[in-house]
Amino acid sequence: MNCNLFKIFFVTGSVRTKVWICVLIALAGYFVATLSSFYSNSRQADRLAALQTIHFPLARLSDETVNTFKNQISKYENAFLTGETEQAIEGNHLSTTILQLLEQMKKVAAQNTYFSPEASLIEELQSQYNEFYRLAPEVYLRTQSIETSLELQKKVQQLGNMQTRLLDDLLNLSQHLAHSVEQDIQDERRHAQTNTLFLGLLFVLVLIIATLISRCFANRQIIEPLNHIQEMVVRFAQNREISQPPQGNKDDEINNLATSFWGMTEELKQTMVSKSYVDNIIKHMSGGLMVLSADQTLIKINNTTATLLGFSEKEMLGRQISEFISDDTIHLFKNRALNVLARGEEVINLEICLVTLQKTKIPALFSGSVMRTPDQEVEAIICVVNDITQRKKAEAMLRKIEVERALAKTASLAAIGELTSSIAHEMRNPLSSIKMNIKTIQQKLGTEDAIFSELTEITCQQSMRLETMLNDLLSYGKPLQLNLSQSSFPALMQETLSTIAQEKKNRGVVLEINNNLSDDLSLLVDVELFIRAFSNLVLNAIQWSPQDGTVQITARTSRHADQIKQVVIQVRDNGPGINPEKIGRLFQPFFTTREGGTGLGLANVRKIIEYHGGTVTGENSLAGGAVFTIFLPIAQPEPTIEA
Amino acid sequence: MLITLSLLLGSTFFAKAADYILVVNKDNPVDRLNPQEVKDIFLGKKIKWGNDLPITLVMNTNDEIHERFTRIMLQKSPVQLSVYWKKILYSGVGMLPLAVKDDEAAKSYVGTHKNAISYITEDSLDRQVKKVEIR
Repeated sequence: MNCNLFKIFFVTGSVRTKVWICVLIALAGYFVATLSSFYSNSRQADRLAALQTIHFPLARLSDETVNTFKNQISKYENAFLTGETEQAIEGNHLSTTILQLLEQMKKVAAQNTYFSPEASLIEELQSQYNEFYRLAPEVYLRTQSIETSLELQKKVQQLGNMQTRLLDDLLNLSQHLAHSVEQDIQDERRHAQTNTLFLGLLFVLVLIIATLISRCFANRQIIEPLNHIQEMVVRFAQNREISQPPQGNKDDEINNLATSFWGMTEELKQTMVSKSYVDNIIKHMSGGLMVLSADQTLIKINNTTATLLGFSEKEMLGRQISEFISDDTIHLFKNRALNVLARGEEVINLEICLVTLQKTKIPALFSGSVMRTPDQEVEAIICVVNDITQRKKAEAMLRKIEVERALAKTASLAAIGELTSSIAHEMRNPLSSIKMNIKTIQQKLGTEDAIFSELTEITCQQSMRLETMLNDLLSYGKPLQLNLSQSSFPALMQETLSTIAQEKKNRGVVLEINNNLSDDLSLLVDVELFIRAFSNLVLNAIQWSPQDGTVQITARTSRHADQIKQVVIQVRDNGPGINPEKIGRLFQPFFTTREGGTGLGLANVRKIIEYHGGTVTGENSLAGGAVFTIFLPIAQPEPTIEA
Repeated sequence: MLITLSLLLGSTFFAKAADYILVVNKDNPVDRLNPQEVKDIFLGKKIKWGNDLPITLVMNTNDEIHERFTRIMLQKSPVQLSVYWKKILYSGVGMLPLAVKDDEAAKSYVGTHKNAISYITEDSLDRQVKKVEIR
């Protein structure tokens, strides 16, 4: 059916309105049907009422009149035949009843113009009966002379004729009325049948029309928009492209739904990435991607992985990842990767070797993490392998270069050491002669000339300093030979103090010595070398201390991590501290921060302590100033001698 | 009233007197009637002669002959016949038949009325009337 015919029903509005209109259409049909059935029923009720109040009473009354009249004439007959006047009187009495019945019939018939012929008939009967009634009593009361009185006989015959006519008329009327009632009832039956048929047809017609209209309306207003949405969904599913639905009434839920869906797809387009997009990303990843199922079989790999290992994607999928790990790293891989992943933790940059189709090994960095479903079940294991062959090569190259460089440096240092030793050695003899000659000049000049005396003194000090420098140089360059002997910290301290007494006095520095060592603790050291190193640290502290400052010296035992008991000796000053930038280079040879320093003092200290199997550190104290600490093992190992 | 009474009394009386005969006017062409025709005429069922003239019934209430005639010919008692005719009168269909008290009256009426018919004792038949045979 062409629904355009029903454009009149086009309504914009909510679904509720549309459904209401459908219902109203159906209700209108129902109303029409009900109205017509009501009309026909009321018509029938009217006719039945007429039947009840006119037809039927008329029939009944006429029947009663006939019966009463029959009764009357029977009584008159008896009176005539037997001469019983009582019968005649009884007959006379019935006349009143008959007249009343006729009167009633007249009244009933007068109610409906349809009965006007009957009414006139009844009137005629009334007048006939009145005539009969006027004649009958006087005749039938005295019939004893009937045989002899021809006049009486004539009257009787006349009455007989009259009553026969009356009876005939009454019977006719009664039959007519009874027939009329029967006819009416039959008419009503026919009417009712016709009505039923008509109403049935009307109902079917109304049903069909209302259904068609409702259907068209619903099609146009509900089904079509819904189909449109369905098409939108299908189009969106197929090619992700749908057009914007037309702007409709804001109460129209279906249109709103379409608009919302369109909005949602627009939003989705911005926020969602397609599977092909993701696949593309995976395909073009530079690293090798491997996705494992929970039982560690490959379920997805990217091109890089396949290319790296020389397999095709089909050949790899479904196989265990361990099949692609080289034998020498498989143990590591199982321990450090699979077990870690099994615990649900991440693996980051584990170095393993992969095996290619050609059985060559490829060093690679393996990273992996577990992807879980929302209910925390393992969905997959995402693994990334990066080929580090090039990096490995570069690293090996760098290491080689570094080794070579270090070797070269050592060689040059050795050469420098040798050179300086020989230079120092060669310079010592001239310097000794200079020193001796200065001393001789000093003694000769005495203290007469103050200026010369001062000059010689300066020269003597400078030459002595030069000698110390040369000795330092010589001793640093020379391998040490430890001459170990048992000694104690107080004894060593005493010797040291005598060495630094002059400087201490010059600077006015106070030494604060805290000896926490037990008296019977003996240290196995080369006394001369140890004092040289220790006094160097103390001197250093005194020299960096401010005038009249304090230098703290603390000795105690401590337990090292590997439970070797060691002696810790700390020298703490309250000077400016060490420049943090230079703290790493403190013990390097030829590094000094002090003017006129050789840069060999601390280097020598470290050399000596290390020869004793200990270590020395220098750092800034939190309270200010520098702290130098000597760690010296008590159970000293056999000293190793290195060239 | 007297006649009625005499009829009632006569009904219980069976006389072995002379038989009855049907008589009509001499001018009447009818010579013969069968018993059914006789019965129809006297019960008012046949009311016209063959020549379309009305039949005038004359009941001879002479006790003996009346009783014999009604009982034999009409299969009724005289009282039943009386009631029969009264009912006809009452219903207005016809008048009561003419009643005469003896054969002479009957003969004289039939002799003077052309369409009359009556019954008399066989013995009293004379030239006034014509006898009709019943066969």
